[in-house]
Amino acid sequence: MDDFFADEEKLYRAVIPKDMFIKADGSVTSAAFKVSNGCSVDRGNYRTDEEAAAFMKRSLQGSIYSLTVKICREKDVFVKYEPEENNPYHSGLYKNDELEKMTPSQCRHLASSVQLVMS
Amino acid sequence: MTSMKSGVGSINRICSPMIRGILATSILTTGGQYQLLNKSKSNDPVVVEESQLNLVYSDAIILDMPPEKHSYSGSDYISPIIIIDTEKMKNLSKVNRIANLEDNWNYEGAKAFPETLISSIRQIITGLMIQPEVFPTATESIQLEYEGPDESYLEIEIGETKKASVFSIDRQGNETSSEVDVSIIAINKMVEEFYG
Repeated sequence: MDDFFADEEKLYRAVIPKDMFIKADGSVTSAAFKVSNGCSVDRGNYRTDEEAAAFMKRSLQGSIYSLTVKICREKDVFVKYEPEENNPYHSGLYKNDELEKMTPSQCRHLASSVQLVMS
Repeated sequence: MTSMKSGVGSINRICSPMIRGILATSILTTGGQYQLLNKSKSNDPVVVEESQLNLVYSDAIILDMPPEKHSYSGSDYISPIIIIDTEKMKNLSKVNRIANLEDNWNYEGAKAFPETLISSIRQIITGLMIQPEVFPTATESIQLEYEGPDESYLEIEIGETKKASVFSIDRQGNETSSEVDVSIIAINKMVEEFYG
């Protein structure tokens, strides 16, 4: 894996605690993407949804949602590959390449676009 | 808490400016818990803890009824009829759950919420005329969300500062970011304007 992300590559976000961020209509709130620094995701690297979600579930509780890099780029969200010692897929979502935290508009866009992979 | 002497007739006058979710209930003491009987929809009791009831009381309107109007259940009863907003109760319960989140609750290093913020949010929710959906964020803030019927959207993110961040989308899809004072009056006004 390298720093390049194709538009069609999938990203996976763990929503924790899973029942805290679900709206009355069943969708995910933008609050699930509001963090003080980069918003952690795992890149798919062309694994199946099941493989990617199962990998995340090894160390995380919560529900796993997916989105694509293209969805991020529609709102100029910067996707940065940030591998960790125990997670080669770890990446971060930022407002821009200066690694600022995402705006409410960006968070809303992502929350409106995610799909549930594993609850 | 407002006390009134004029009985059921007063309920209508009180309810009319309230927008939704208002229920007339009778309240029955049962040891450390209380039963709130929903008189407008069913007689199924909702059992709440005493601590939760205090939150209810903070928003309740007590109507002193003549003895013949008192509600009975078994051998125990007390007289007040109270008005409860069930959406408000649900949100206050959610705030209690948010208050219980511990450090690193999201596995990304999010901190537990300061009691001053939780207290402020409780007061705001208690005072809001239209109830939002309530969510924590990992930036030590709590987000209030309103969805309009026409794809419009209002988001108020409240932290420990005197100003809350506001993000809204109108029915044409235009996005706006602004700030609002963290006060019940200011937020009620903003929500009222949002719903037009």
